[in-house]
Amino acid sequence: MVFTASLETLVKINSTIFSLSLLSLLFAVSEVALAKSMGIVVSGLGGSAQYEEQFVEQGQTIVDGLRSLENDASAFTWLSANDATKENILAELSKPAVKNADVFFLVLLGHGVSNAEGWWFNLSGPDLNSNDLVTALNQITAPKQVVVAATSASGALLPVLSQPGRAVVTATKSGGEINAVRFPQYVAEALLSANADADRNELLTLAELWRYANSKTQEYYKKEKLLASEHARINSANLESLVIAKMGALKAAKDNPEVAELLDQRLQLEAAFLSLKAKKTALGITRFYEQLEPLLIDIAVLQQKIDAATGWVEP
Amino acid sequence: MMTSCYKRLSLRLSLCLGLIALIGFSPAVHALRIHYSETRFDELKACDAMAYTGDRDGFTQCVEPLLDHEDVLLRADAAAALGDVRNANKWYREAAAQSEDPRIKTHWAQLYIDTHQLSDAISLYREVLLMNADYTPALIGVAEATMQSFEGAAKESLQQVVLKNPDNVKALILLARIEIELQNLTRARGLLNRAEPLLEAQGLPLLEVYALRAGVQLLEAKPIDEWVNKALAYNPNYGDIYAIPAHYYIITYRYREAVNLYQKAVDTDPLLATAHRDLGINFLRINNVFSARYHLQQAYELDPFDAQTVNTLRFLDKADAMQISSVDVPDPDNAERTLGRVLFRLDKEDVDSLEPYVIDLATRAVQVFSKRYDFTLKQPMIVELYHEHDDFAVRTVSTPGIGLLGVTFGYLTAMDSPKARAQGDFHWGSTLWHEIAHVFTLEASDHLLPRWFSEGLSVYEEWQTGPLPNRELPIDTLIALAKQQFLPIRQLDWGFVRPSYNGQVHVSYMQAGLICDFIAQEWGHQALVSMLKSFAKGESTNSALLKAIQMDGQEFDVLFNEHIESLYGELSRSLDEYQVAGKQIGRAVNAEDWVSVEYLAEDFIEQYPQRVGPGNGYEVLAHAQRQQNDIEKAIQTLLTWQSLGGHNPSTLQELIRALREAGREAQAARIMEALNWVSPYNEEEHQWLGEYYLSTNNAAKALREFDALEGLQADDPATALLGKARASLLLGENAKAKRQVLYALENAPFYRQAQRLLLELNEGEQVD
Repeated sequence: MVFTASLETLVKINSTIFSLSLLSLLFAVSEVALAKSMGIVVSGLGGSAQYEEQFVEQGQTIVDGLRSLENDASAFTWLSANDATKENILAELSKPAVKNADVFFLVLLGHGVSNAEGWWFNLSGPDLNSNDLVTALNQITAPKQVVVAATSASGALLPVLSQPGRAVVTATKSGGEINAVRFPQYVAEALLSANADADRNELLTLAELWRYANSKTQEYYKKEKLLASEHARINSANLESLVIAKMGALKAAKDNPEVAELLDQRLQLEAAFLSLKAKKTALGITRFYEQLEPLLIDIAVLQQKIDAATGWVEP
Repeated sequence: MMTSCYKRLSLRLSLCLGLIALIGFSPAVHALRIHYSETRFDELKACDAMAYTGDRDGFTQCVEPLLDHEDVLLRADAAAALGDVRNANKWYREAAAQSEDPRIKTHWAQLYIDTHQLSDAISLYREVLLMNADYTPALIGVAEATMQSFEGAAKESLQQVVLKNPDNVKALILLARIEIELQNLTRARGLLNRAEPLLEAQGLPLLEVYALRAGVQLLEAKPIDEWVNKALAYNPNYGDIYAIPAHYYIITYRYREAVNLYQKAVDTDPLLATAHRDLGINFLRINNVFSARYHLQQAYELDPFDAQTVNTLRFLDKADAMQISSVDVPDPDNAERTLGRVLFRLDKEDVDSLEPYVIDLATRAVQVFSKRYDFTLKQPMIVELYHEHDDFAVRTVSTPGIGLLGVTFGYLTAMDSPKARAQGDFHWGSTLWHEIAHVFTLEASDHLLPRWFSEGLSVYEEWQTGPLPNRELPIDTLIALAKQQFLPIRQLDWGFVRPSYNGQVHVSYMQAGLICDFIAQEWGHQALVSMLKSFAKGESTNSALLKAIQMDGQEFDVLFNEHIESLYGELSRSLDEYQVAGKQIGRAVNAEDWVSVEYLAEDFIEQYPQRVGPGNGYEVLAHAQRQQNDIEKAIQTLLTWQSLGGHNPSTLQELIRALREAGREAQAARIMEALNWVSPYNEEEHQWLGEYYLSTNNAAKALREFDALEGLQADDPATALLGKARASLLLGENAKAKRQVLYALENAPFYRQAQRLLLELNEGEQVD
């Protein structure tokens, strides 16, 4: 017996059980669709050819990922090599468009150091320090902000930069973890890997990115039987609603209105799915899977429509 | 009743020092110590006589008044005799602050030995020796402490003591213990014969001598009743009359027999903590976990200072959480017959990724060894893999920090899982193969084979039938060969039991393997089986050789040495030049002179083609070839390297990439299989291999790979679950396939490939 349910029926069935998760998802997707995201990615001074290359490569991947959120590539600035100076960073942070974005991103890649007086980010020319950052970021009015300090000793920034509405990710737990970090490598990898997008909805959230990069970093040290010299940290609980990048078909579709409409439908199904999943224990295994199967079939059928609309072809 | 205190104790022996300060007093009742020391106070000697005959109450009543004696050293000795560790420690310290009398620190050190703190004991003895380098009690004390950790130096230092003090009974008895371990039984008897009249003259009991004589009897497979009766007639509670000989069963791998003796020891003296401990540890070795826990708890109550007891109890708590599974091994020649059952105990976090491979290899090993050794398992074999090295160490020798990879106690084999060490640190498939070979050779000979033959057969089986065709002799073995440090076959056990130079155990493994390999090559594998059967009858190495190949040990040594000379003689003599050649390659690599690197590496390989481990020429040659854009040559070089046993994981991964890029997928799959035996935690490889087996309609292997992948991707199981669904579909199990695809989509509802499969399954369409 094959269970199928029309989208309409399903929405009706589940209309009473739409919960906060739906609201937060609606918020997340509408944010992706409408909110203006802007940001800066900085690849700091490597000090050696190997690190130089790594920071540039990681910066390129991360800025490409962020640019998937906007049609306008210039919404995200990438500063590297000789352009990655304190002066240029502060100038970018003070641009009105950046200051007034809906969602603001700052990603720092490179070497950091810290002492009792603060934290420094190694750059060509004078280094950027934690006080510079605090002052510059306090001028940003974006209601949602994401700061990823993927550098050594970046844990020192966590208490300094944490604010309501600002998610702060650091590669280390404190300023005392001073070795070069592997965490940014996995942050970049997450943007390229379908596995990081755990639910495969083609929206990589900060939660998914964090889980992927953090678990890969820990796994690395375990695998190599090395004492872990970095312990990444994150300060915010509301990570599921922060979308970092669009992937696959969504990335390709950009602002296609037909796709946007289908995405709205998908959103409703996704909410129904989350709601049903939350009731798994209460329903019991048999009833849960009986209800899950038709819902998943609806999602699959809709996904085919989205793919047809975007012209998406499996790579 | 067992308290949970042991859980708070550190695994590390060294922290026991702190315990004295914390716990202070212990009613510990240790093995009856016979005080041979000439510096023992007469007041205590009078009490000791009561203890020696088993009158514990009388002993206590005799010693207690001495706790108020004005001589602080005597007070400390009295407290130590009563097990009052805190006061003994305090008074020894007090005495040491007042006087430089060397007796104080030697007696104090004895307290540390009794509370299992050997390094602290040694430090105190060394302090005494700094003041007086010839102080005999301290020299003997150092030897006693070091021999407990199996250091070969103890024998030499005791021999020196005996040379200067031929009538020192303690030195004679300790030396006899060592000679028995080395199975120099005639020499041991001689030492005991010398000690006996000296003891009688000093009015000291012969109890320990009786126990050691019983040990000698055991090693000669003779009854021990005469010595047991004599000892029990003197002291009916002397449990060590069983426990001391039991140790000699342990060193000859006869754990079941040892358990019987330890059981008698605790029946004779229920307060003998060391016997409860050893009974518990050896019950564990024969997989009787409940009895093990009971006796370890008894031991802990009697002696909470014993790190072996504490460690093993803590281990048992962890072991409860391990996952157990089993397989009945089919006879490849008769599908209706099974060759035995194998139980697997793995850490939960290892199960998914490792279990399919462990089962696969153990099944093959049982099939191969049943046939090669004409032996069928008589009870289930247990295979345990530990992802924490210290858990494995405690499980096997009750102490963390050992350098072993695997240990076999008859039907039970335990080893490090690949997770216990850095990636690619060891070829876990070969280690498991080596250990399972032990199960067969130990059980087929009723544990009567000498150590060299047991290890030799396992190394030989690694080379002949194991998953890794590696025959490389490490450089340290070649150096030993050049220095003529290979031992005559009849003395080869010494290299394992009491090594006399760094690395000798490893060299002995290699020599033993080469001997077995040579015998099989010259006289056939059956000659080895014949020797195994001779050992099972209790025969010596000489006798086993005579029966199998009609020559004795001396004659064999001549032939073997000629054989080794022909194989490795030239190389071992030219090691200096060989190593210089290695450095030359290094310089050329640094200069990025790839033409020279290629030339030098080819020459380097020619000198020692079997060398495939660290420092080999193949990997650098392949690198040079790649640098010159000769990808095909580089692939061929690495294929040769791998076929000879090369297994550096990163190089194997490089080879896999090159083969995939060249479209040689079947070869890539073969190398990936090889990679899993050394480094099984690579998600990408499992996924690719799973896909490959799906594409070649090998559903069983595909399932194995996706099972492993699922274990590795706990946060994102969707890919593995989809793979399992596709494999189930290939096996015609549609309902199972649908269940798995639903699980996949439950985790990742927008996973296109899984969505497609779900739709196809619902439409009843064929899946491509």
